[in-house]
Amino acid sequence: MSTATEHPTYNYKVVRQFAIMTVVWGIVGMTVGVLIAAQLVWPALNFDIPWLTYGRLRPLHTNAVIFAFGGCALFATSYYVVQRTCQTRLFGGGLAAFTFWGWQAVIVAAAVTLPLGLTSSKEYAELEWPIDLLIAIVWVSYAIVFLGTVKMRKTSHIYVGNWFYMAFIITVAVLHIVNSAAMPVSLWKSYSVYPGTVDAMVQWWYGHNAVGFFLTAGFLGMMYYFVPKQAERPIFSYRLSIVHFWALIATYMWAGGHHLHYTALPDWTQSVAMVMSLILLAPSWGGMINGMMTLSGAWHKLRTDPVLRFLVVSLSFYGMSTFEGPMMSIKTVNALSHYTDWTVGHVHAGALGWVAMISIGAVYHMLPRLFGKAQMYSVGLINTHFWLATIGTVLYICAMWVNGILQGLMWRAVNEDGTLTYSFVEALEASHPGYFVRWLGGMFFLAGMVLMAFNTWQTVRKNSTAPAADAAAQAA
Amino acid sequence: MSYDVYGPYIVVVMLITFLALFAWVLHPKNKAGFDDAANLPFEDDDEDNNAKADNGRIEK
Repeated sequence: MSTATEHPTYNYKVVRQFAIMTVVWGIVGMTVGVLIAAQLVWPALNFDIPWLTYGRLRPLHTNAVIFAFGGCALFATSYYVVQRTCQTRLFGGGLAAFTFWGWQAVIVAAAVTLPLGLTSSKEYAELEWPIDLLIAIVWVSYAIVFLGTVKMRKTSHIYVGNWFYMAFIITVAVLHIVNSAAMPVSLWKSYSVYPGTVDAMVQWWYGHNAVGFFLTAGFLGMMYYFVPKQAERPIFSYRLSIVHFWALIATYMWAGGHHLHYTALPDWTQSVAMVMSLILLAPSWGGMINGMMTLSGAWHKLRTDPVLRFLVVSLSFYGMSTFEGPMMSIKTVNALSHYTDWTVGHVHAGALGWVAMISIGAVYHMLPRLFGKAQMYSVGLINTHFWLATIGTVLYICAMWVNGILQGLMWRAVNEDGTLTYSFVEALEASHPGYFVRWLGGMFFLAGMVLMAFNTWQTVRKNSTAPAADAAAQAA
Repeated sequence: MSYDVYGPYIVVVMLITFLALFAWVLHPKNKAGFDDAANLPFEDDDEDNNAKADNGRIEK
């Protein structure tokens, strides 16, 4: 982009590329989400075209928002944070560029193969083996770039945000490579190397740690840099952040079994997963409190700074969903909640409220700095975006709570003679209003992203009217 | 050695590890280092010292 100024020390080009693609893929992934939400309200919207059916678009939505939107946000912020806190240029310029183009190639391959119905059927790991291989190569390159930069640092300490980013990068490499181990039978068909129940356990060890390391540890790395930076004061307690880090990564690894309550998985494994999930509340809330308390004495900034508002409200949603998660992992609660829309609502409390909102806040913080501007084109639009995102998230999760509990109760209701009180279709019909409200919430959230795209374009385009940063300060 | 034999000790090892972690974190000698590290996000400053680079925040 023409307005960009080259930084004397840092490699901002790759950060800019990933930051822009965060906005682009956010809109793409959320648009698919809104479409499939609409299909549940108005089923005719699949137009009887196989590529547009719910079963094929749903994995496209999850892959696009997690790995394309969330992934680009993580690449952009991690490359930005590691350079600035290590006070050195990104290691391996060509390799960093490869991680950008390689990751975009993975996303495009996913966008083509998933609607065609090519899938390994493993949730959040649907992509077939040739794409899995490309992911592994890109991810190892990412690890080399990031760890190389940390090694070349000009500072004595490794900032805690980088610890979280490193744990995220290394663990996701292990998870992806182990879970994707498969026997190819043709170019686009493979079978998992693990049999039966073992496959299920490996899948949810991967699946839950995708939540714990991709969607949590990585974004906590973001939190530990952007919250202090935007609040202009250091983290509340650096000691707490160290305990937070080690406790979180030591505990998350064990929680995956809670996705398999009341299945063929050995009962003790389910119980271990439940206990570990309950313990997780402690480090999760430790981190949330650490982020929130960073604002003590600076709460008034929330009145005037919508970027800080994004960051702090994301922490509130993080606290809420990390309370809800351990509660839902209790077997007796899970007996009601599992397979209902409650789970979907829980995921979106984390995905929209925590992951998306902290990413959006971080991108609004970075964009002006990356493109030599003093601020975004319109602070008012950031504020509007904030309210659209918040209202959208609240509508979404409330609708899913109502639907989830309703479904759970209707499915388990039995008559005196032991027969089911309600058929599945009756529970589905009762869910219809909730599906409409969920779609509406998604529309709100997506509308906010469209505003973000407009604001971003107006900030980075040639002849942008956004105020330029002071030239002397830029060069310093 | 089977899991039945060493399994119970895993919990003990984890407990000791965590106690050691707390001792390291809370030791007064380490405080200065942690304070230095906590300020790392503010030691990269170039344009951020510029009052305009604040996304329109109005300070009282």
